[in-house]
Amino acid sequence: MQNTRLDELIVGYAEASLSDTDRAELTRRCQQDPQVLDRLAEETQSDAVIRELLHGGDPLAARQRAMRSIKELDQTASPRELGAAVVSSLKGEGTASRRPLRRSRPRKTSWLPFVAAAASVLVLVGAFFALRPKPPEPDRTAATVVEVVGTCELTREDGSESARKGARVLPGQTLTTAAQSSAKLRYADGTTLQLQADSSYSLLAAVQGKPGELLQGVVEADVAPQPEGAPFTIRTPHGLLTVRGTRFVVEAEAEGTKLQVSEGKVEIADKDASTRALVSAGGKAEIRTEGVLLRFLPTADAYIQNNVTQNDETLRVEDKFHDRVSYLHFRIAGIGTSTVRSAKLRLRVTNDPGSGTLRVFRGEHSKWNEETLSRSNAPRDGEAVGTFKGRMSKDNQVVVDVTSLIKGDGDITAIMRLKKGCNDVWFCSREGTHPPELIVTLGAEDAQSR
Amino acid sequence: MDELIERAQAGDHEAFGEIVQRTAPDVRAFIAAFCPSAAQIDDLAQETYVRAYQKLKGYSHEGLLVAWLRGIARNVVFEDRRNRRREAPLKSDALNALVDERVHQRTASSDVGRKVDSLKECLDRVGGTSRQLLEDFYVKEHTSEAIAQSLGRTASWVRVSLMRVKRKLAECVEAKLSTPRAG
Repeated sequence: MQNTRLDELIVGYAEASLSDTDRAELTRRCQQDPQVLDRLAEETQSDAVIRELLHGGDPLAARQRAMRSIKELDQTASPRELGAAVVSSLKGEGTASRRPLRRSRPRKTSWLPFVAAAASVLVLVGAFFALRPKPPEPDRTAATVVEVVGTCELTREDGSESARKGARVLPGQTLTTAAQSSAKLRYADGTTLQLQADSSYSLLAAVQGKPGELLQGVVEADVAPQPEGAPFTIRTPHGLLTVRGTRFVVEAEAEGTKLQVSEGKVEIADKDASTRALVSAGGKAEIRTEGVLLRFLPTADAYIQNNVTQNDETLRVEDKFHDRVSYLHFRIAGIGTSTVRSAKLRLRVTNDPGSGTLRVFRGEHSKWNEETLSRSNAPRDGEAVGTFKGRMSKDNQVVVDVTSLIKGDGDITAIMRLKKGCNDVWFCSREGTHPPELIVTLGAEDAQSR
Repeated sequence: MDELIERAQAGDHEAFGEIVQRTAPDVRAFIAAFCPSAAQIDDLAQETYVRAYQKLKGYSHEGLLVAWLRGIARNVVFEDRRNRRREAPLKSDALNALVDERVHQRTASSDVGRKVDSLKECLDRVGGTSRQLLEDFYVKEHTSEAIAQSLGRTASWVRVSLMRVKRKLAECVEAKLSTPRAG
């Protein structure tokens, strides 16, 4: 019974669902019994490793992040500059796309001889600072204009003026860029916002966090990790983005707000917060009147022609002269407990148009990639999830309703087949210029699970 | 892999990207053993690959690339740990601090790489409902309550079942570790 109780506490700790009372009980047991602490540490450690082994930590995202970092390093011209860039990135300086890392530890030096001298200096310095009036705390919600290109305007309560480099922007004030202009704002924690042309951004007042409002236009944000419970938020006319330290671009248009996340995660919610989604690196989402839209590109796609796997710029389907079946692998994330209103698979017809009945099936598994897919290990057809009937003209889009394909977050495979005897068709693959897209529209969250 | 390494050593970014993609799960799992906080794994893995890229020309193809990358990752993790202690007092609560410290002690005295590899092999053998439970909990990040709802069970059943699966995994890892390494 005791062990069962401990099991429950440990799983609760892993899923961060312990009540205050349970947490206090687990803390007390760990403090009193080293074996309990050892067990909890072991479970926590194995949880983290199992999670990574099962999930793989999104290897594609890891690749993209590493590629960005090494490209930035390579852009430096000489070994000396390369070294400087590395040191700079380790200190979290500059605009490197990877998140700032903690400062490197200085090289060990023989410091002991200096301790005595340093101690006496510290006493004097300490006395000086104790008597000196404290400088005002930097206003963490204010930002500074660090770059201005073209015409930019700063609107305060008492009127507007031309925005200049070095100007402070306080809560309640708005920075606006004209056509062919841009401006960059930087907060004290290193967070930067790049306002593109014809954009308008207001800083909002708050007790905690750094709220702002994108009234119109486009902002590219590089947000430093924010303190727990004090997120960086951007309101748009259509909803709210909550940021936990990441890089993303947000665009407020008349018909909706578009979000593209390049690093980290951003929570996107509609105006009344009835629908929300967590958008990860590489993800795209939109807030529209019909709800929150998540856009997914395939993480892998290929087709099998007769018995040979082909991975080129096309996805071909045919059951006439050749046997051609196409496979699309998607990694769905961010839906959480929201309800899926619809899911549409958008395909672009490339070189070879066709006609007939295109059928989409759920793959029975998604444990394949473009290198390993073969006739013998390809997922078998599961339930039919969508059909398109008609002409599929060159350079036009074919949209298949595949709502029943989406059951929540996780990996899925869509298998595309053309009905026997129909005119074969080629679609653009993810390697092509118009990759397939899976557009998932979310509704309100499941009330029971909120 | 050898061809990819040679191309990457010659400055081919795409080849290096491919190496990252192929090795990231193993490297990240290794880092996770030292640093269970998911938020830090991304940063530490990224720093590992940046350093690997800088040192790649010195890689001599002796031994496995993953082992070489894990050596770099270990240094990155230890450096990060020292810096954290030096620069910022722990903001985490008493329980998290206790767990962090104990994890640190555990990693200092064990062959982490071998444990991770053993766990990987043991995980590959898990199937059926146990696998589903693990994937729902760790990959889909569903709570035990949510999993219980979908399975028509109680949350307690889910929690206890998860612990049983993990206990079997731990036994499997122990058995592997007690077997002398081949070669």
